[in-house]
Amino acid sequence: MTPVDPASPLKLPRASGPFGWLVNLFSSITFGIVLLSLLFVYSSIGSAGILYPTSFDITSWDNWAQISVRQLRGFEMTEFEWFHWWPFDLLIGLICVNLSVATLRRIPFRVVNYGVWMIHSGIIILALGSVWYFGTKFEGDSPVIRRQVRIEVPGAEAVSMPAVPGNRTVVQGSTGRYGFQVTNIDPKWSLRSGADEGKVAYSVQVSVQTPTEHFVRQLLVGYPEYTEDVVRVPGAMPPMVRAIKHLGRPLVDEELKLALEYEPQQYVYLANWISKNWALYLRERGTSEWSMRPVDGLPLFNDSIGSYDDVWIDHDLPLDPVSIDVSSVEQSDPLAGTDVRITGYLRYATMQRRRIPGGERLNPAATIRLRDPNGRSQDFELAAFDPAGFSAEGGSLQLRWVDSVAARTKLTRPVEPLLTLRVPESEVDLEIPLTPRMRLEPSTEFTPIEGTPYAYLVEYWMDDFEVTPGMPLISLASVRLRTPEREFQRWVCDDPRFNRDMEANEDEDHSGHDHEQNPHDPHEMVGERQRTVPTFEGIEALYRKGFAPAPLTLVAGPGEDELHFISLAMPAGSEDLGPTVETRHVKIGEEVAVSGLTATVTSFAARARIEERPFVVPLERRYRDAREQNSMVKVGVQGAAQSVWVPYHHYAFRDANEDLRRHFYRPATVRLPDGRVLDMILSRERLPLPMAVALDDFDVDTHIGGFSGRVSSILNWTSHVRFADGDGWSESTPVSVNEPHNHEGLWFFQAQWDPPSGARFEGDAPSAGFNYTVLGVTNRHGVGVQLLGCCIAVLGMIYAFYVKPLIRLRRRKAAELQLAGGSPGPGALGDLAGDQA
Amino acid sequence: MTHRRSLSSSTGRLALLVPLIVAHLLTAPLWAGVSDGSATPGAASAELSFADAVDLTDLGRVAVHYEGRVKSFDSFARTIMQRVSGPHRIDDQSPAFTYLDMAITPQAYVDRDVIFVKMKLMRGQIIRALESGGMVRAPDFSRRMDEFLETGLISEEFLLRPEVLDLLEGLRADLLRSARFVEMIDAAAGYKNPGVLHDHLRIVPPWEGSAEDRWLSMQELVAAHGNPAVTAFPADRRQAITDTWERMRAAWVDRDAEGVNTASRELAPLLRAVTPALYPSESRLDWESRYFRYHSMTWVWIFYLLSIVPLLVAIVYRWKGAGRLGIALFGLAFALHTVALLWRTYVADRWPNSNMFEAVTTAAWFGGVMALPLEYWVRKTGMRYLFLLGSAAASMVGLMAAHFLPIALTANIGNKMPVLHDVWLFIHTNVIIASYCSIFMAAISATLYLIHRAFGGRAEYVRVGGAGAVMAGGSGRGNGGLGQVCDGVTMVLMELSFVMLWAGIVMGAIWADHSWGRPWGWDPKEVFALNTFLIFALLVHVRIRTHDKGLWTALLAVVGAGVMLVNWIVINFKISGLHSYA
Repeated sequence: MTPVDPASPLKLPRASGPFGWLVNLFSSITFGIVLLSLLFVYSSIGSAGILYPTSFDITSWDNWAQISVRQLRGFEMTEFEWFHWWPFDLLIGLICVNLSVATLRRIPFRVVNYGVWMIHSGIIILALGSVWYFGTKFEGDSPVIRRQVRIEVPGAEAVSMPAVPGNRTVVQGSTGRYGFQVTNIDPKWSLRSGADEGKVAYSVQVSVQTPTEHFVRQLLVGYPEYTEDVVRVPGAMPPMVRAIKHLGRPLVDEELKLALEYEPQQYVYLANWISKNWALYLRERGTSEWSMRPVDGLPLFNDSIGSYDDVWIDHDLPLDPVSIDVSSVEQSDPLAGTDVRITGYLRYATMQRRRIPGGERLNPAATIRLRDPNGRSQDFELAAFDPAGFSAEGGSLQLRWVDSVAARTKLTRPVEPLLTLRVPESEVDLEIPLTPRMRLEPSTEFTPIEGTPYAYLVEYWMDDFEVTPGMPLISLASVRLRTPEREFQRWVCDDPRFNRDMEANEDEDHSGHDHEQNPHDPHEMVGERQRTVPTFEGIEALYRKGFAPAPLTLVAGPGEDELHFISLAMPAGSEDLGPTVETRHVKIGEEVAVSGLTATVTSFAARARIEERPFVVPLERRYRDAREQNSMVKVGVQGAAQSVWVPYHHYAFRDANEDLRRHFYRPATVRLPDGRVLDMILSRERLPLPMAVALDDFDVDTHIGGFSGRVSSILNWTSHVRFADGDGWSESTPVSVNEPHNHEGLWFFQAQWDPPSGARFEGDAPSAGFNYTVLGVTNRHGVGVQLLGCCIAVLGMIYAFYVKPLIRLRRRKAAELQLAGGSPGPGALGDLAGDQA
Repeated sequence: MTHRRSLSSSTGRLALLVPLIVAHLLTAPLWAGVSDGSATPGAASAELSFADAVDLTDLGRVAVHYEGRVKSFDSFARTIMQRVSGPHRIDDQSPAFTYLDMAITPQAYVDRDVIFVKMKLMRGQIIRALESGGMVRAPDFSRRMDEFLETGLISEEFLLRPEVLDLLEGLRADLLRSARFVEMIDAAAGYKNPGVLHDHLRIVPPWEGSAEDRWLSMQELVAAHGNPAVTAFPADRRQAITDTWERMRAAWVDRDAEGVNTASRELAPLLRAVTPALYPSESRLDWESRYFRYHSMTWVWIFYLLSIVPLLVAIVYRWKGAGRLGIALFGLAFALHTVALLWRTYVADRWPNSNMFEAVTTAAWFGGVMALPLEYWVRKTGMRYLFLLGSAAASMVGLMAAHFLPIALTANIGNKMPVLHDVWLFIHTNVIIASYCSIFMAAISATLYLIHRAFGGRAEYVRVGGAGAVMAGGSGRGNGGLGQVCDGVTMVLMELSFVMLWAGIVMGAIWADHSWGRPWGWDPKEVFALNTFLIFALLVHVRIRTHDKGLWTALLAVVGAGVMLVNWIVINFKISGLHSYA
């Protein structure tokens, strides 16, 4: 550093002897400069990677791309791993040796050089502290759920489930099956009882279905005495009534015991982004605890597959097989002694089922590509025998199989729909063909069903409409029925199971509305506008849907490689006559112009089979923040018939109730030759915590206006945690952002929280959040040494840059005074000379 | 170096050119910069007259609750309109006017080019899609597309064309390159929705509520009778507010400027009187509105620019008059800069160092804080004026960036992220950004040295380090030339940067240790701060080994500034990491 006078670098006698060249090398400032330069290059490449322009217009950020060198195939390193790789360690080691030797040999330990000595020794102390720190460092996270519901059903062992909205479980008791579902959790429930009125408690509502009754039980943290049931009372307003008011007792079933308890966390899961900490978890079906097998050598950033037949892929990916032996390390391992091997890794993939040729039975499947005049195209995968998959685009595009030419011809001819009304008690059977004229000129009057006291009025009918995407299409006719007592509406479906009667809509003007131009919205009809009423058994109804050729139908058969397009066309000037039907032979890959589009059968298999494989998501469609969430590995187990893809789970959840609503639980299954069934998940290594940790309470401090559901309204998160202490728990301790807690050498940090979330699927309960926390857990050995080194270096810099010049100035002035005849004190000139040296 | 010698040397020739070149280069953006806040053309004169006649001064000082803050309506409208139209103003209207106009008369904006498309590449793709969809026959299409290419503003009608929707759908699927830009368009279209605009306009404090209670929108107050937060209002108070609002709305629809002005003047005190304890002080809201009306005072860069010219002349020609003028102008610029900083501190209720705009403008201000005492220290040496010059250049560049890149460096005031609520934010961040400014200032003197050498200047350097040189009486022994002076200044600033950067990194490590559980995480921002330090460590040692010490020092000082800028610009905007919010 600067203390050596830059104008006159120290002349150093060259060392001799067998290692003289080495001593001379490490005494060299030039060598130090080279090492620092290498360190700069290494750090830059490892951290930012390489930026390069993708266009000549380099002034726009849009035209720059980045390659992260450490993530490239062959490196596969996290930032931590890159900066602990041997070249980095070597560089740091060489710099430390160079610093030491050069300091000892070049810089005399004098007052003016104290600064540089401090800087150099501070850096060496920092390096030593870092060796200790990084050599012992671990970092991970522990999800801690706030409470679990302990359930005691008569005649069954007690079970528990995490208190998270949507969680459910079933218990077989001595009197039958009991179903439980957490329907609602209010983290800030205001008590309305006696002396505790106004206090706030964590409230959990569990919907209970006993063999005989259904009710909701409310549990309050800290107030078990206020546990009570709420029952549905028909006709009451509101319909849910407290059991104490309805039954005179707080609990419907006093034998059934539900209680809230801590859900302690025993493990910390090591962070994968610091260094790769993959682990495979296995357990036998029927057991609850996982056995862990650490996985060494698995990639992190790049896909590794041994065969394209392992995956679905639509982009270039080099074959790069891996073969990693995953050994057992725990005695509880259900496969101890059995080879488990990973042969593939995908960073970002989703399981997909596709139809491919090679099936044994007839199962026609095709992919049709439609392209519009602007060149935009879309592929449709259809399967003729799949009720939910034989058509697309609301029935406009279909795949059908025919076993004869006549059947194919039949597909070109429309068939009118037919409504059948049957009155069993009068043995009247009435067939009503639904003609186009009826649609154009709908009747406004009821038609009596002769021989019965009933009358009907056909309102409208619709064939093959999609109520739920992916589900079979539905056809129905809507009929108004009148009996001497009442009038109601009936939907008559082609599948009679879906028939239903509804209150007649009195507001509806059925005396002249035009159903052709204003058809009812079937989505709206189902349950939105009218109320279902009990089915009137006096009249039975059937609907046989009509048939009209779809705008485009691919017809396969009767030969297994025989394909035809049947399409509707509207020749110019023939609008009044309606569309004509065209049938054309087509080959795979041939482009056919139909209705202004170009249709191509890109693949067809008469005997298709379904195969499920991971679809490798292209890079540009991967969410950057997903990290390893969509990873999976291909695992082969000795003796098992085939390898399976095992998806990544963020934690080793015991069941779906532990998935924290933000992850998923989908273990892969392997059947062993001895009949055992094995569950497997991929996750991260976990370490047992020295003490279990439980979440007592969770708070958020907010900015003005309170919590809006957005992070921007939050000032701080605080987990109040307790640690297992013998048979009990320690005092509640806050852990919040910037305020970690040290417990027995481990540091606990506030890492993540449980935000409010809506229902994830139909029938799921929404969540108000605050049901769990995720704590960061780490150690920090050597931080004090690192800090000491840093402080010494800072002091050295201040000394070298600002104190040393003062000393030199004072000495110079003293020397000048001495030369001028003054008396600066003994040694001033000598000091100056030494300073110059 | 004496005055005569400098005139007769190559440095003298340089001295004649440099002020002219620098003045030309630096003032060019001033004239080009008029584009900031540029009006979109095509406004009807009648509309302009209504916009001109409407006086939103009182309404602009109404408090709005948005994203956990209570801000003035002017400030709030600016935030929202920036999300709709990017850096552009519509018809040169104030954001507050456009906000209300869009909310009250949305039909006027259906086919107006008001939605900002940031990605330039995407603008061309949208135009091609519209052309392929036959829109080229639409009236005025060619002109509008030319303007779209230039400004990025396009109408929702165009964006809703099937061919454009198809295009955007495809671009949305590319999460690496274009998805976030499509999401910005979605967000802009969403904010433009009158329902959203009305919903966000939460200007009614909760009746007798607390700071934790949500504020209400006028929409809620007018319509939702079942809302307990609304029913809590006394009927007469609620009626008075809603009637006044409805009068203003009706007048707005009728383009009755006087009616709007009267109603808005009446509305402001009615809202303030709802729950006075929750309402920010009138002066705070007024200052906040004014702060944004004065463009956050980023135009102060002009004063720094003006100070640079005489300071350069004073340095090169040793002309005391120019020096005094330069100091006066710098003093004025720094005083205004200080006012801007304190002003922001007052309206944001915190020291401004929590986002990029604040980091850049505050770092630039730290340049002045360092330069003034240094200038006093070296006032009798050859180094005089150079620290001020470096600071003026750094502040000018920083404020220009804030002024001309209002999207990347948005001046909007938001809440700090939870992790930033820590005393180390003030210690670590301020020391680091001050060191960055010092590094930039060192690069200015180093660049002067390199120009000096490029024009044939002597290979000079200070022999005893930067601070040592000052202590010794200026540039070395006091008889050096411009090269020695520049080298001395570079060394003074380099030494300062060296200590502050290292200390700042260590302070960051201490904060990270108790915040994230690790003092050092090899985050790109951390690594490039260390890389900047490495460059200065190299500089110190290269200076020992080389003969042309001044040249190597200057080169490495410029490289060090480059690495620092990479850290601040590339790492922040291109490579995400733990410090992405900074």
